Amino acid sequence: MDPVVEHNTTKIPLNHQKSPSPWVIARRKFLKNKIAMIALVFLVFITVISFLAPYITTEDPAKVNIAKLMKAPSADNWLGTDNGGRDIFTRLLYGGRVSLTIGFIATLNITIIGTLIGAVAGYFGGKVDAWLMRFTDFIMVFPFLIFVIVLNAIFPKSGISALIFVISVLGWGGVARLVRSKVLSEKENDYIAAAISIGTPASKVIYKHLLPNVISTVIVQATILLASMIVFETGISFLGFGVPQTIPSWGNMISPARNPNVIQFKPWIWMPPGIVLTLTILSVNFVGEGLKDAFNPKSNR
Amino acid sequence: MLTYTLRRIAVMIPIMILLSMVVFSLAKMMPGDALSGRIDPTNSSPEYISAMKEKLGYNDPVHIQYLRWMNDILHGDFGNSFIHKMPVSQLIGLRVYNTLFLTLLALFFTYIFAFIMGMYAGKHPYTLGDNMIATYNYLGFALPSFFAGLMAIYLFALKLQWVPASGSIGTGVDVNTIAFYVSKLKHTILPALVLGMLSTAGYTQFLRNDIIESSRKDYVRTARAKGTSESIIYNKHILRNSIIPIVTFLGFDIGGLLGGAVITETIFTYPGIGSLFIDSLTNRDYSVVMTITMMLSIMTLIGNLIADLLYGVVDPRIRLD
Amino acid sequence: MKKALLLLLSLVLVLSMAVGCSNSEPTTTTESSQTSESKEEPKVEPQYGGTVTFAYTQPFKGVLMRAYYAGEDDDLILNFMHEGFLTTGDDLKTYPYIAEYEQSADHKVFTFKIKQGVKWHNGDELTVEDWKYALEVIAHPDYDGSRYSNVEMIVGVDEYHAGTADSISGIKVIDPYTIEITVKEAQVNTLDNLWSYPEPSKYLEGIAVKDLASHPKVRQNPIGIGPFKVKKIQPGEFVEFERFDDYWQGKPYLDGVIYKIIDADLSNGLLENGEVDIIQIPSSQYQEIKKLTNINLFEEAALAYSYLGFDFGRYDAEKEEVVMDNPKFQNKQLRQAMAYALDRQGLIDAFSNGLGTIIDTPMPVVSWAKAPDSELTHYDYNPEKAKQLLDEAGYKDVDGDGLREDPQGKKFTVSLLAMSGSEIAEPRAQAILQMWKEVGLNAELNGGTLKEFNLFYDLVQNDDPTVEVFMGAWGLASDPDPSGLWRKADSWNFPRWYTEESDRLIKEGVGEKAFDENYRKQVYVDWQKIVNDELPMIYLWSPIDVYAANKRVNNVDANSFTIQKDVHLWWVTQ
Repeated sequence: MDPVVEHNTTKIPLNHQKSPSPWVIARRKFLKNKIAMIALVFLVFITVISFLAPYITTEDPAKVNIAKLMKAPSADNWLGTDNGGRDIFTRLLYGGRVSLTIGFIATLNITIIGTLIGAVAGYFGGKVDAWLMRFTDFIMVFPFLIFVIVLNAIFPKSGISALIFVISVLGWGGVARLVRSKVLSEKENDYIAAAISIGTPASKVIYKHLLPNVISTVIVQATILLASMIVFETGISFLGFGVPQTIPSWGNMISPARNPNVIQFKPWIWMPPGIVLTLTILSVNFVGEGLKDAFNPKSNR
Repeated sequence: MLTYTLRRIAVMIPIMILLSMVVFSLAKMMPGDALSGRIDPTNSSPEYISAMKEKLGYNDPVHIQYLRWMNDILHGDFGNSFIHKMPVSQLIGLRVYNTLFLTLLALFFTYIFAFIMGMYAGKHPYTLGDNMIATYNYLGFALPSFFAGLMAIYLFALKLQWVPASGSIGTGVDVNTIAFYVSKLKHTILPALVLGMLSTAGYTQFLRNDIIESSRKDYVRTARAKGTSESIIYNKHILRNSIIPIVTFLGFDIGGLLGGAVITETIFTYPGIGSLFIDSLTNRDYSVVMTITMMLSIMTLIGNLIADLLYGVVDPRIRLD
Repeated sequence: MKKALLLLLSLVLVLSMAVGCSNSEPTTTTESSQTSESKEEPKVEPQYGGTVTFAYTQPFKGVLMRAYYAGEDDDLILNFMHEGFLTTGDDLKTYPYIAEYEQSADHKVFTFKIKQGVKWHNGDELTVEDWKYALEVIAHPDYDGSRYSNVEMIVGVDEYHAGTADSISGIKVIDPYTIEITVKEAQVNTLDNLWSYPEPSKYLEGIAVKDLASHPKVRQNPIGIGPFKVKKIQPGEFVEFERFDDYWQGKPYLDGVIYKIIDADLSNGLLENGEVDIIQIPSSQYQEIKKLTNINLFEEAALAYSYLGFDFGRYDAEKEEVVMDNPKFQNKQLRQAMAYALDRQGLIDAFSNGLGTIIDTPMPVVSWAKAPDSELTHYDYNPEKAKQLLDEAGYKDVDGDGLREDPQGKKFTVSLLAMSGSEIAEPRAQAILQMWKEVGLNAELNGGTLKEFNLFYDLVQNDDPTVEVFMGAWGLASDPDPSGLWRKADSWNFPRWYTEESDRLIKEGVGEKAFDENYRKQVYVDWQKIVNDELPMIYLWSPIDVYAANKRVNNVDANSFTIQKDVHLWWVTQ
């Protein structure tokens, strides 16, 4: 599981000019980027309505109604009902809450772990670097799905948290590699060498000098990561190994499409979550693209 | 170069050993007989289970069991599939060609489309065509493969009925006849297209950006100033330089040859390694799961190694030691 | 011959996933009206020639040996190519087929005489040595299939199985067509349980028992004595059969049969355009397929049932007996109330396209031993009655939260353990929980999730403390004997429930007096009245299997366990 699309980010020039207020420039650029802004608005909109689901709809997302199974969209149920007679629209909102929560938390965890490990490896180099990088290699080939299943068998009640835990613990490999290479090149800069030579403690050098210069890369990487995490969660939930079926998530909502009858004759069950999912990923990617442009001093868009 | 390669391989070995230990412990932590698949999970007689455990040496100390397991694996014995009632190695042998056919076909599509679209977009940046290709790329990045697969089945197999929705071969065709290959191709083309068209996006974008960048380089400007024709500039100077970095991706592609199609195979119920993996997981046929896990991990490691080596070959500026 | 079906978990899996359920018209449970129509049609002379495509929706494993096969996928293949010495009739009784038999007065010695001139597909003649060989394979110490219980009753099997004897002393070959089998004790259902499939002993000669199941002669080139021989196997995808001219009942009409694995979603279309002739249809497509004009439908109550078991205790593996030490569901009124609270027909209609028959006793609907409905309590959907029973039993809402407390006034929850597997599993479990909530019981899902099949049975078999109510399914054998699932000594008695009277009746049902069929039936009726009233499990429904056959295929008929009856008589109108 290496969701990081590395070759995308290598396009960022390694030594960008020190401008007095790079953050201000970046923000200005981003605000001017129409597509990125539309995507951001859409993303915020999806997030907000998902998290406000209980205030938007009064339907119970879990309540089975055997009187109206798999009904096509109607005035009562805007997007129809699923194979338990539950309102698809309602479940779409609640499902978004689950999928986005997992996406955000996992991304946060992975970014923190990956950045730390990458920064330490890159800064200290030598043996530390070699060991950490071998460890990263190992984590990146760790049998992920099996680990999820074993954890679920051992802690049957864990549900979503087990999933987040596993993704966080095993997903940071790509970020660590990227941050390491970035730190390696930053380290070559004279001012770092100067800081070290006057005896600045390592933690301070990393925190004060290295990280701020790496942070733009990390932010861009994190948005890409957010997209991969959401796809990943829905993917394994779709296959039946992710979020417990009793909890609505976008992946769980699409998974009835594995039934021939549903995929062929009941498209309203699986298409809405699929489309919302795709649009969400698309907008995350646009935001990521916008951020990348914004941080790139050479880009003139 | 050689020493670097050897050193990388030497580093891989401890990772593989560590990996085998993890797989072994995970297998031990699972309910039932995950390692050998020789104990019938539907037989609950306590005498049977204890007799089988004794017979398979499950009462020995853990490290002895591990060494025995490793020994078996090195001798090509991966245990039996409980569900399929055959040795795991044989089972995988039956499926591996299907997967290779699917992934190689997908890879073919990936590169073909990437070259066509990437070259066009690179040559004509910021035109309508480029924008359309960019839109396609964004979609390709955003469409989750399982949703793309479902949509493809819904549209092309169920609604338009151009191709079958599942399987790898039709009935009534004899092996090695033309009809056999046609049928095989018909079954494989849709999953291969879905798989290939989605990963095209990354390659296309890379190629486009690289071509645009190269076209601003001095030697291109010089050539242009000398009045060299555009087609020669693109075909001779730029393309040659831009294709080289793509080659390094091939390493990762090789690593993903067996494991890259898990979801696609499952959705299309295509009888390959990936769908076998998922089926075995759902049916708790753990000896198969463990073997495929080991196999895919090793493939990934090898793929990464090849990618690194190719990177060094292609770009001499990268010091490999 | 479905003897080997008993307790086959793989079957249960198939059932729990496919759960085809009830038909609203009870008249179609035994033989559908279409069947009689198709029987009237063939006034014309049968014609030779043609091929029939028989489809199935799960890939097959290809363990093509009766002693080893595990699932329905391979069973269907074997039904075309192989036969047993005895056969099971539509009424689920065992009848002589290739073998006639006599039994001694004490019902312990059986002498079988088999027909002469029956040929294996490779031309060898069938002899009783082939039967002896099959029994020895199953009894062999290295045998790792699941049929040992089908030979266990033979004298001398234990020694052979332990490796201390070279042969099974209870099997005596008298001449190539006569064999004498001695069993340990007189049991009325000996012949229902005895393994009666021969295996080609000459063809398989020299193959070690442990290698049989994976040997090419079993996997790629299997032979049998049935009407069709295997021509080509494409693993997991299809099997091509061709006519076996030397079949002992005469040359089959069809030139061949193709057994083809298809995607379930295509059944409708493939049936319509004639690419598939015969298939057991997925219940989810019942409505669409019913509308097709070119097929006959056969609806048959299957030999299986779904249930909600209550946990009464645990199985003591050392003493090998059930201990009823869990007080939670000891109150009969509570159990009955939970049954009255369920709208079983509603569940069948909603989640199984109506393809199921409600049952109130654990006996196949078509069995001769099933107690008449008039003798049983019918637990119809009656929430008011459920509430009343709960009130009487002392389960009342004392703290006013809308949920009932137990008679001691403590919080009372019911946790339901349910299996995952199909996309209807989750909503169906939720619907059951809701029905219980409506009568005031605080019901929740065990662990908050559905459990995967193996984990489910792991928890149930090992008496995990979290198990309270569990939703399972059993496949049944043709013989009504409840041994194995219901006695004090049975480890597969999952509710961990028994009474002395129930155990006594089960024993009586296979005892000496039970050779009188009327007496035996009365014993089983008495036993069913006990389990119907005590309700150690809520009996839910028996699924209804629906087979579709293209009208061009004649002489097709189905019963409660197969549509592959007399396949050598199938013929197609050209």
